[in-house]
Amino acid sequence: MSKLFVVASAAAQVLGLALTGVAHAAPVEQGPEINPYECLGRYEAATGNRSMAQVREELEKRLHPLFDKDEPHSVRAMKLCVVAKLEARLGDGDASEHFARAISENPEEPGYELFYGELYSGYRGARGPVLETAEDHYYLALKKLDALRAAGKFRDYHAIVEEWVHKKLLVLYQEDGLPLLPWKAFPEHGYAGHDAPQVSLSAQFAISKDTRDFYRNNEMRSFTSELLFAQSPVRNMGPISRLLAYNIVRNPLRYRTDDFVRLRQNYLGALDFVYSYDHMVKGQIYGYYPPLNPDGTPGNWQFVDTTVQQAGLNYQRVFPIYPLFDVKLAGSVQRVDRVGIVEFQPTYREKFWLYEARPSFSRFIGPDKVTLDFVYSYMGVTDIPYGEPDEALRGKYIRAVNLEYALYSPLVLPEFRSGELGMHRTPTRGWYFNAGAADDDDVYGTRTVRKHDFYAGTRFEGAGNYDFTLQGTYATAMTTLADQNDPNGIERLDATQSSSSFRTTALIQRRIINPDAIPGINGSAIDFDMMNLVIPITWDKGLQGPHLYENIRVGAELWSKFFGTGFLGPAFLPTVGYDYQYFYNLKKAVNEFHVDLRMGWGKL
Amino acid sequence: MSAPSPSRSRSTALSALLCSLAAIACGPPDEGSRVLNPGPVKGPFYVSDFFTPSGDMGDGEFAGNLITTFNTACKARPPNAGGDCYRFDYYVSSEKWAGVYWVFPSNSWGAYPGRSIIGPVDLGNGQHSYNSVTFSAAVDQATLDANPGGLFVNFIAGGIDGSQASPPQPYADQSCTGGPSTCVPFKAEQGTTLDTDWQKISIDISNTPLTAVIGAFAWVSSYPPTAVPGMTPPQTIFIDDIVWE
Repeated sequence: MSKLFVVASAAAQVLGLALTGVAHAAPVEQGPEINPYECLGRYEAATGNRSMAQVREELEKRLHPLFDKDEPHSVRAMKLCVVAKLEARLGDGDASEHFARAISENPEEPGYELFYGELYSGYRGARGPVLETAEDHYYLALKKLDALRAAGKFRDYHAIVEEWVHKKLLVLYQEDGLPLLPWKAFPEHGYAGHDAPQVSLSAQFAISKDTRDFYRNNEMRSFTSELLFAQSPVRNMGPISRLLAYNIVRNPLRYRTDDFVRLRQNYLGALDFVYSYDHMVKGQIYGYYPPLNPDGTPGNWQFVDTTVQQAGLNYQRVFPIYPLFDVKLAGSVQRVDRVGIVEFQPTYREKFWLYEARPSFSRFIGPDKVTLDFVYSYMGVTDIPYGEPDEALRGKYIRAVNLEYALYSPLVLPEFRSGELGMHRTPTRGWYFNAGAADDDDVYGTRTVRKHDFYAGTRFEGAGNYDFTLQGTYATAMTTLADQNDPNGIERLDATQSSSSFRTTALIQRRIINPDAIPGINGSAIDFDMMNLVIPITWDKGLQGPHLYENIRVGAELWSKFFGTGFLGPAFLPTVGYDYQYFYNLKKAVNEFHVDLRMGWGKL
Repeated sequence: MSAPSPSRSRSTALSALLCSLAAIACGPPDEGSRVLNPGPVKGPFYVSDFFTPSGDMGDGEFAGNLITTFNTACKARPPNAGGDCYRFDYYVSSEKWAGVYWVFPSNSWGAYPGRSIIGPVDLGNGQHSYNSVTFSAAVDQATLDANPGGLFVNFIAGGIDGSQASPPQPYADQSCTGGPSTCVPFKAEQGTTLDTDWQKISIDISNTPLTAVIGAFAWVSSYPPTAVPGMTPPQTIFIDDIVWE
């Protein structure tokens, strides 16, 4: 390389830098006021009826270049917003950066804060929105709306932005129940709600007459385990009568209330003081020896009541730690007080601690989302104060893992259009695939009653009004025990207590009121958000052990949700359902119903 | 004397959190580790350390007729008493008798082998025996008032015979001097009239080679045939300090 060229090149670089400097120094105009929904319109134009690859192409076109160097700030902001929304749709982690840049280009515009907030309340998150981050942007939007109003720059479209922000915050807080403090209550006023704490009250009441308990335990497995235990060498030492086997199937009246007072604050997350009361009327078998009448003739089971009360603390918060994932940390420490659970001791009261942790991890893989959930629950059940010490130990361990893959890409599906069936690209609300396993182990001294579930399923949420769910669950129950006479306490299986079954679950859901069709708030005291008609069908088929409790169950349920927008905005979830269950090997039919009323909610 | 270790390791809130992060670990401890004293019971032992009073008999089979209370509401314990103390409140019903067996494993009427034991008395040829089953027993004042001469109660060691169960079960309390053909049923009894003072009672089981026992102890009490359920006062029996020695 010649010396002259090097000098010329250096000079050109200096000149170039100088020219660039001059160009950068030239003021860029703020530009015209742009309706932020221009961003939404361009985004929809770039995604409508397109495959994800085509959406990616649209994004690439908009990224290179992002904007011309002399384009005014307001135009840049709108273009950056479109890019950010496309990236959010494609699952790109850069979406938040581009939303931030859009806001920095046009910091007065509240619409971009709304869209940025939607990234964390609608796209990101793990088993729940990244609430605190979404909250940051929604309250900034309110602050900017107030500033525009004060400056006389509040346009008609800002009223729509404001209504959407209120609706988004309403949905964001929907689990919290009734606000007891004003700042975050609907309709939220200004930025004060961001830092202010909220104290809210959630109350849930459920009543049912059902073979299934409120924890949705598998009733075929429960009944089969009870039968096997009653027939085991430590009880009847042989088969029990058909009448007793028939009467194991029962649908006692159950009622339950779950209440919590939630303290929510942006820097803290959500801390709940929880209380629950669960009562079952004459549903627990007093003892599994076949009962006799006082005159010595065979009798019926004696059923007793059970009551379980729990009180304690829950904590939950979603942390965005991209580029890794979003993680939800949820945990609970509760004191349990229960009566009626111990065989032969219907008045025996147990008090113990329950510890539970439920972390979830979620991240996008392209436009699709993967979520991994774990549950660990330990109940330090009170050791029984009698009997030989080896048989005194009690405890319950629940461990579960669930993997979900949510397919959010538009699918090419058969569809009738203009009277003809054809294959069309159809946006959906998601096609979900999940698989998981759960262990539920009860310790009874040197025995362990082990229940395992292995399941896989899919849920298709159509763009229209129908959703479909199909799941298969392989459920087992077994008992292992130690031989106390063996110097090493060897473990063995109690073959008399093993069973397995397969449950097929299908769910058809029809949206009567579609929340997506009601983006804003209707202005009345009650704002109906959702109503679904649900047809649940289950079929339990025995595999190992007695098949006596095979059954088919069909029901109809109505799920609904509305907001009390006329009184601070709590969300209400009334649910009512009826099921008919037929145990065909017993020729026993059971009619079941349940009613649930919720104001806010915890776990559903 | 064999006795269970006093403490067990238990999970805490911290371990629950760590377990959730470790995903699927932290299940229940394996069954073998939960046996406090695995293998044969050697030498003297408190019956309550290895046997459970789960074998309710007679009227006791019906809910509400026989209430067993452990380590609470006991009579003031005899000096140097060990093991659990018990109170039994028996309300007469149609059978007019009731009783309770302390068995191993709990609720077994011969479905499983008994607890392996090695007695303190060496009988030679690898055989061991115990001398006696001793315990203290009494009734409350109301029971004595209803039975002015005292309440007669029969006490038993051994006596479980699975072949008599319905359906028959494979195991029984027996004493063997050699192979299976040398085995004879093992059952020893001692009837005593109880009053409100503790009585130290002994059931002689000496010179009885034993390698295992299902029913380590039992009591049986009865009402006269004329007793009217619901009208006749209950019997309250206290039993404490049951030892094989």
